[in-house]
Amino acid sequence: MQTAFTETATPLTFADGKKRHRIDPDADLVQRAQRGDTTAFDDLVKKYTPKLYGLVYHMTSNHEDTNDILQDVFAKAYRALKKFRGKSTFYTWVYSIATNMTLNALKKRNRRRTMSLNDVDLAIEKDKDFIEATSKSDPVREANISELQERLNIAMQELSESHRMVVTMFDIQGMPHAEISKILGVSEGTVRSRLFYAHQLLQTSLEDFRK
Amino acid sequence: MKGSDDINKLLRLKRYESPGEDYFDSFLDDFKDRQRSEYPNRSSYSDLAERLTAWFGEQGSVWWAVPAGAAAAVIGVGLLVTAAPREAGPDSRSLVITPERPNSEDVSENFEITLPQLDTEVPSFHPEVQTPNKGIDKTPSGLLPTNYRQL
Repeated sequence: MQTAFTETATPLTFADGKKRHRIDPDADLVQRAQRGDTTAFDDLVKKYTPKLYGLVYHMTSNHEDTNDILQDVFAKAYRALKKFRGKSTFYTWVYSIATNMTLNALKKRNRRRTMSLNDVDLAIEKDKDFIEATSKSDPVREANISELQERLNIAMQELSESHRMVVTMFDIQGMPHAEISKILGVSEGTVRSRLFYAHQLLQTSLEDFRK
Repeated sequence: MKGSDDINKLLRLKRYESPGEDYFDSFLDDFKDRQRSEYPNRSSYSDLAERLTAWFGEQGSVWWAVPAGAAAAVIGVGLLVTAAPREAGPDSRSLVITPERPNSEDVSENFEITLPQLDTEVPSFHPEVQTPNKGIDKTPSGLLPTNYRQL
């Protein structure tokens, strides 16, 4: 049975052109958590920590800051959970909280450029893009993983927060334009133009990799 | 590597940057420990501030109406408080009071208390006044109780 918590209030247009309400896969957990079931909220935390970690980390490039912000995000989500009305999926709602808190934290912190980078998962060695990037005998392509990581993170930090955010959400996390526009509260056109501009800036910053 | 395709590929590779499974496995326990330790220290003011922020955020496009209304209320109260007193008429008796200023020799600021004008005749219980044919008309209006009966 579909309830206000199982479907979004605003219908979404799917690939077949038809509008449907998206069913929130977390509806049951959310309802239980709202009734005070802490294990349900625990399950939500475990489910979405990796995704939210990625968002915050790629915005801050600092693991310690990411951990602090993530703790605050879930604390705020827990306190505000009873006000959640199901107008969006729980994931979109908590993602919005993380986005706003990350942007606020970035504004507050000093403009220090210290990065605290995570190690790269060994699974990268099986990624076709990585294989292509390192397969050709080019001095630039033989750059080790940490140098690649550092160069890209420096370039990302040089972007404004709004540009970095759309790059993180679209390019790194693979979020569709429509969902990005909903979370950020801007039009899809704005999302696309920010992405285009950000890519231009990143290309300029990473000129070495174009050789 | 060429153009934005390369940028896209490089950016996609960033998703492999991870703190490790141990971090995510222990995150929930760390989160709970932190909440338990921080909760007693949360001030009621921070809770109130957070709730107000959330409430304003929920107002959506009309969020501006709330502070605008509050500002209008403040202005209205201010106008009431600072409203000028009634001007004293020429026949009114005025009592001028000079406030004492122990440390100031400037006594130029005086304020007046205007008393209502009184008739020279003081209402009394003189029998002549109380008879139905006389006196009542001489009594200034408003000085007798409304339930006064003409005898």
